[in-house]
This record gives sequence, structure tokens and C-alpha cells, in this order.
Amino acid sequence: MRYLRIYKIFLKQYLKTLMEYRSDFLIGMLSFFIVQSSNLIFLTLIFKRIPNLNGWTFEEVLFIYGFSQIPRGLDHLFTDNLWLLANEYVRSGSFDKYLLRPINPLFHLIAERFQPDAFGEMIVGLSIFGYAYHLLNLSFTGIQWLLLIIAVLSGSLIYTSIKLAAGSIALWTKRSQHVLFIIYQLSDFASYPLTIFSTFVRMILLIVVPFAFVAFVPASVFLDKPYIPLGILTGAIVAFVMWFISYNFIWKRGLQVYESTGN
Amino acid sequence: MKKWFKTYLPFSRATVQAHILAYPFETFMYFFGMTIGIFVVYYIWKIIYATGGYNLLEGFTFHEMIVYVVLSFAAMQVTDNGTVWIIADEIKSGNIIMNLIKPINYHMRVFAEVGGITGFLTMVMIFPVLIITILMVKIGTPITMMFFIFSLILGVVISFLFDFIFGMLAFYVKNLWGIGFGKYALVRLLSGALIPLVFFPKPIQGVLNVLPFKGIIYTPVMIFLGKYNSEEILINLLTQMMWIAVLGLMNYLFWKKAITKLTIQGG
Amino acid sequence: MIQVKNVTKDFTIYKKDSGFKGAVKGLFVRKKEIIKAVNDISFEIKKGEIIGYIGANGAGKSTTIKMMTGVLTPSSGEITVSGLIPHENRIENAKHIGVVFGQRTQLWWDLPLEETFTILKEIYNVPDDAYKERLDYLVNLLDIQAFIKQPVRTLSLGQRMRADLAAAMLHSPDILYLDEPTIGLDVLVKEKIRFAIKDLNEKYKVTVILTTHDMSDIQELATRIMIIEKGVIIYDGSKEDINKRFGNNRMLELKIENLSETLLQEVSVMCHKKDKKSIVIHEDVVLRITFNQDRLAVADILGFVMSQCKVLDFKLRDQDIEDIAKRLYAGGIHEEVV
Repeated sequence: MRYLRIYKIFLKQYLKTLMEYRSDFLIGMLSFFIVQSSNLIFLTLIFKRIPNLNGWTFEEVLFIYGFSQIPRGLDHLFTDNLWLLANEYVRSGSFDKYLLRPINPLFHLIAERFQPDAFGEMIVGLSIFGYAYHLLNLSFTGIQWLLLIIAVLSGSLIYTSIKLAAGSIALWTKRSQHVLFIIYQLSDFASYPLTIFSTFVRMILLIVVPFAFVAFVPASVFLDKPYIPLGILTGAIVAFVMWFISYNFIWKRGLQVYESTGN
Repeated sequence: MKKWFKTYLPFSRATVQAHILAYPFETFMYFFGMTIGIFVVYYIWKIIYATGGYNLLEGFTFHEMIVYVVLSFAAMQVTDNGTVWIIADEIKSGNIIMNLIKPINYHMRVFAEVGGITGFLTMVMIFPVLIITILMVKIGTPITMMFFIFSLILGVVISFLFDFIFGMLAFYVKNLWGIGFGKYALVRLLSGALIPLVFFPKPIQGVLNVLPFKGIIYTPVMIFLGKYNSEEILINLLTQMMWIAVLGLMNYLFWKKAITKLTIQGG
Repeated sequence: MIQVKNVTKDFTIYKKDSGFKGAVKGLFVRKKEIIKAVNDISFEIKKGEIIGYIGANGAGKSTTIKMMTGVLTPSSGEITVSGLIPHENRIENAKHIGVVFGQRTQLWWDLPLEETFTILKEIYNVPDDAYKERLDYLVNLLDIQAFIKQPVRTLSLGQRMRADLAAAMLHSPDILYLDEPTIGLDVLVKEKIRFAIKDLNEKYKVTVILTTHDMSDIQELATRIMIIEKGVIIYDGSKEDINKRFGNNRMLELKIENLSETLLQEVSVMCHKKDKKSIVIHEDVVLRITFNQDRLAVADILGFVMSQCKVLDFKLRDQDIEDIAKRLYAGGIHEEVV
């Protein structure tokens, strides 16, 4: 409860500063809008040459692509400070601050930053998703919408867990932006049908860095072409396991190491 | 010339040392990370050629397409070399003033710094990629190779001049980080690094032909692939040079204005 | 209140050779070296004390403070702060301490100061009425009212420092750690900050641990001085006793008519005969002699000089902390300790 109150205050303040830099906010959003649109243009251009991508129609690929941007944007919106943890907080010594306050340091870290650039991704994601939903003549039942929400939240949690794990490495090495970057890049695979990739890539995305569960696995369920049975439940379980591992075994261990080495 | 090197080479060395050699592991990881994008695109093209049953798509064999993807990616890495961030950081932190009072040309210094990185990256990235592709695909005569390298250098300069103007946006906007992403995506799309420009509808191709971005990636890579005859090579190289002149002039004008703003407002 | 017992902190550092070649070489081989940032230190701090903790850069001050605040875990030894072991109960410990780093703000860059305080109120769970009372007190004490609505990034260094101090004291901590709180500030702001620290100490019995390079901070505030050098505490005692510890040094300044090189030589030889560590220097017509008064008597020096030439004026003064600090920073007084 107290944490919720603190988060609300941070958010309120953040939104105030946002209004102050309204043009920056719009530009940032526009930028991520462009990033997403350029991928969309790529997809459109190539689908002019082929009827389907390994059995996935243009509409279905759009559905997966749009879906993938929603959890990605959600995570981006709330946990962007993990990038700064990876890049500079440990090196510059600012990280001490989080250890000097009587609240959970990870909460403090995450609550402090809110990244509205992510709206660019979310708007594109939702629009493409909606467009594909329309093109595919889908009509979800109440249960399906609920499952969709669960899938999106699980997807975000997978993103956050992976970012936390990679960002925490900075507690050992002072800087881990590059590790985080490389792992985050893997999420590019998550926006396309998994079946177009080689077995090796698929295994990595299912087991090692489970980005497959962010969009493809749940989307395949909604498209009635389930890739694995109980895709959404599996995705949720994967998300919780990832979070558990990242938080307890990497972040917390990293804090201990930081406490013994300092900066 | 010799004096020029003596003045600016230390900046190149120092930048390579501070940004690459000081963090070798991270640099390696960064490149490795960037290559992940290639794999995604590789698989997509593979499926396209297979399901479409194409031998030749818009004039590209599958092999050539892969060379195109790899080489345009490598060229993108070399041309997108951090100019924006160097300038933006100096403007934001106010360090730009410290650099303006030094008896050196600001543009030249920044160019020397990013040039150092570009040179280093070329050695560790472009050359290996080139050698592998030449061995694998057996394309390119020594002459086209020379034109390719010349054209790529022009591409680096175009990219630098464009980024420099872009970096000066830091005088006006705070959220340059976000814009940087947008810029990257835009250049990637318009320069042909994401997909060869011939894939665009004809009218759009016409527009892209007259924009400067084509000269950053598409022109050198197409020369490498032997897709241009000598007349086309000449026209494209001239277009690149024309853009260098135009962007150079724009830089000069913007810079003059920015400096005036800086000296009036005190940063 | 604070007990530090036989605490040591080791760091492993990797050495790189300098220059471009060194950097390339560093890609393949790294030299490992263990340094003791803090080496077997022990002390106890009582409630209400103001400790002036001094030492050159890299002597181990920050490491000590980080261990006391729970940010760092000691390699060996024990620390307890109000009965808690800081690194084991970091969050509990954090409720009772306030920390200010002069070099780095703890405030939120883009937020107005007032909002920063409301966030801290929630973070530290300060009840409404206590918060109001406390805020009024701090705003008055540190003269913050004028800029409380401004975003932190627009504050001057002096304003920011006062804001940081207020932010650190909002939750009424018993202990205040100050790491170079007056660095880069003008004399007036320094005065304000010192006054505030004194007031907090007198009214609320706040224990203060203060590191600084500004010896006037120490002169005005500290009730006790600790000096650390190369990880070892070489002095722990009152301001007054410090002279006994570091040699009973004094400085004699003589204004002389026709100061000649030969005279300088002769005085120098005469002083060194009795006190090998005495220092004789001159500036224009002023001769300055630093010496240990247990070895060399003022009367001897004066007598000797006056027999050689005409002395126009003279001044005698005891060595102060400033002088000790100068010697400390110049290369250590460890060996000189008597």
C-alpha cells in the first residue's frame, strides 16, 4: 500500500514534468512510432512478393507483430530505469542512493522513471493489432479478452525479468548495457512467427531467453494455430519463473556483490 | 596534410582507446548484438525465396541478397558512428564551450573522433565481412572494389554531415535519446539498409533517389554487388559528392547560427 | 551509538598500463592487486558527538562511511550502529540515518524541491504532523523558502546543498553522515550550513560524522577529530590534543632588515642541529621557521637571529589543523607521529 502511494506520487510528478517538456514527449513518441513503422513497411513490402510466410498470412503476421509490441511497450513504459542501471548508475556511484533509503531498492529504482516514449510502441502495436483483428474477422469472447490481458502481462513480465537479469550484471561488472542490449536485440525474433526460424534459434527463444512466449506463443493460440498446448498458461508460468530467478538469484546476489565491492 | 594529421590524429586514437579498447568485452558484445538483426532478416529472406520459388527477386539472387543484407548492415554500423551523441552530449553538458576555445576546428575534431571509431570498426568489421563475401560469392573486380571503397568513404562523410546537423538539435530538444532511435530507423529504411530500395513502389523510389540517404548505404553496396554499369556508378558517385557539398553548406550555415546563439545566451 | 571494531575492507583492483599500447595489452592480460582501503580500524562514537573525519583523497574516508551506512560490507570486523549491523539490516538502519554527499545530489533533478520532500516523506513514512513541523523547522533553518518551488536542476550549488541537507534530515535521523558538504560553496553558504549542523546537533542531539577538506569546517564544528591515512586511523581525539600528537610544532615569522643568503644558511644550520625536521624558508624579507618546541626553544632562535642582524618584527603561532592537514596531504605524517 505504502509502495503504491509512493509510486503514485512519482507518477504524478513525472506527468507534471512531462507537460513541461511536451514537445520532447511528442518527439520521443514519434521516434518509436517511426521505428515500429519502418518494420511494418518492411513487412508490407515483402508480402507483396509472397502469398504467405511459411504458412502465415500477412494478416496473421501483422497480428503477431502488433501483439508483440504491446507487452514490449508496457515494459518499456515502466522499467526503463533498468537501462540506466546497466549503463551508468553503478559506474557513477549514483546507485548508493537506492541503498540508503528504507524501501526496497528495486522498487525505488523502477518507480523513479517512467518512459512515455513507449507510447509510440504501444500505439503502433495496438493499431496493428486492431487492424489485423479486423482483417482476420476475429471476435473474441470475454474469456479470450481475459486471456489476452494475462498474456500481455506475462509478456511484459518476461521482458522485465530479462532486463533485470541483464541489468543486474552491472552490479558485478559496473556496466552491462552491452549485455542487456544483445539480449534485448533477441526480442526482434519475438515479433515474427517462430516457425520461420531454425530449430536452434527456436530453442533459444523458447528455453534460454524465452521471448517466444511474449507474443508468438499466445498469438498462435488466438489465431487458432496453437504452437504448444496451453500456450497462455505456459507463458504465465514461464514469466513467473523468470521473474523469480532474476529477482532472487541475480538481482539480490548482485546487491550482495555490490555491497562487498562498492564502486 | 601532415600537420592536419598531427593535430587531429590524437583525437582519433584517444576516442578508440576510451570507447573501444577500454571496454573490449562490451564492444564485442555490442557488435554481436547488432548482428542478431541480420539473422532475423536472413530467415525472412530465406523463406521468401523458398515459398515464392524465386531464383531472382528484383534482380537479386538469394546469395546476392544475403551479401546485400550483411554488407549493408556492416556499412550501417560504420556510418552510424556516434556523431550525434558526441555533439549532443557536449551541447547538453556545456562542454562545447571548452572545445570552442581550443585552437582547432570543431567539425574536424569531431570528425577525427568518429573517424577513429569508423576506421577501427572498418578494420574489425568491414574487412572481415568483405573478405568472407568475396571468397564466398566471388563477385567484384578490383576496379569495382576501388569504387566501392571510395563510395563508402563518401557515404561515411554524408552520414557524418547529416548526423552533425542532427546533433545540433540538442540546442533545442532535450529528449535526443528518443529521437536518436527514430533517426536510426529512418536512415535504415531510407538508405536501403533494411530492404533494397528497388523493393519500394516506383514513385517512392523516385523520391528516395533524390534524398541523401541512398548515398550512405545503397550506393556503395550496389556498386560492390556489380549492379551498376560504369555510367550509373559515375552518376551515383557524383550524386554522393553533390550531397556532401549541400550538407556541408547546411552545416556551415546552421553552425554559424548555433554559435551565435551560444555566444549570446552563454550556452 | 556507533561501534567499529577491527574493521578491514579489501578491494581487488585490476591494473592497466597507460597509453594506447597499454590499452591494447589490457585486452589480454590484467594485473590483479589487492589493496586495503581500510585496515583494522576501531572506534566508538557517542550520541551527540560531531566527528571531523579527515584524510587525503583515497585515504579511506568514504569507504568507512559507506560501511557505516550499510552500502558496503566490511571484509572483516564488526560494525554496529544503534545496535544494528548496517549491512545486514540496511533498510532498518536507513530509517535512522541521513546522508549527504557533497559531490552528488540525492534529489530528483527534474522535480520541484517541494515535491522531492513529499516523496521522501512517503519513502521514510513520516507522519503528517511530524513532517509539517520538521519541514517548517528545516525551511527556516536553511532558508529554503525562496526556492522551494523550483526544480532541483535550476538551483545553484549553494541552494542545492542546503536542499540536500534538509532532505537528509526530514525524517529526523539520529545520525547524519556528511561527505564534503561544503565543497565548492561560498563563505556565506558555508556559514549557513555550519550553523544548521550545529543547531541540529544542539537541539536534537544529532550525531554527525563529517568528512571535509575544509579545515575551517572542522575548527568550527568538530568536537572530536579522527584522521585516517592509507586506511589506518592515525589520530582520534580532541582538537586541542592534536598538537601533542603531531609534534608540538610552532611557527616563528621574522621580518628582517637586509636578509642575506648567508644568514639564511646560518639560521638553517643552527636550527637543524637541534631539530632535524625544522623547516626554514623565506619570502622577501620574511623568514619563516617551523619547528618542534620540545627540541628547539623560541628564545634560542630569536637570540641567534638577533645577534646576526636587525629584526624589525616577529610573530609566533601554534600549528593549527590547517598546517597538519597540509602536511598530511603533502605526503603523510604517519612517520612523524611521536
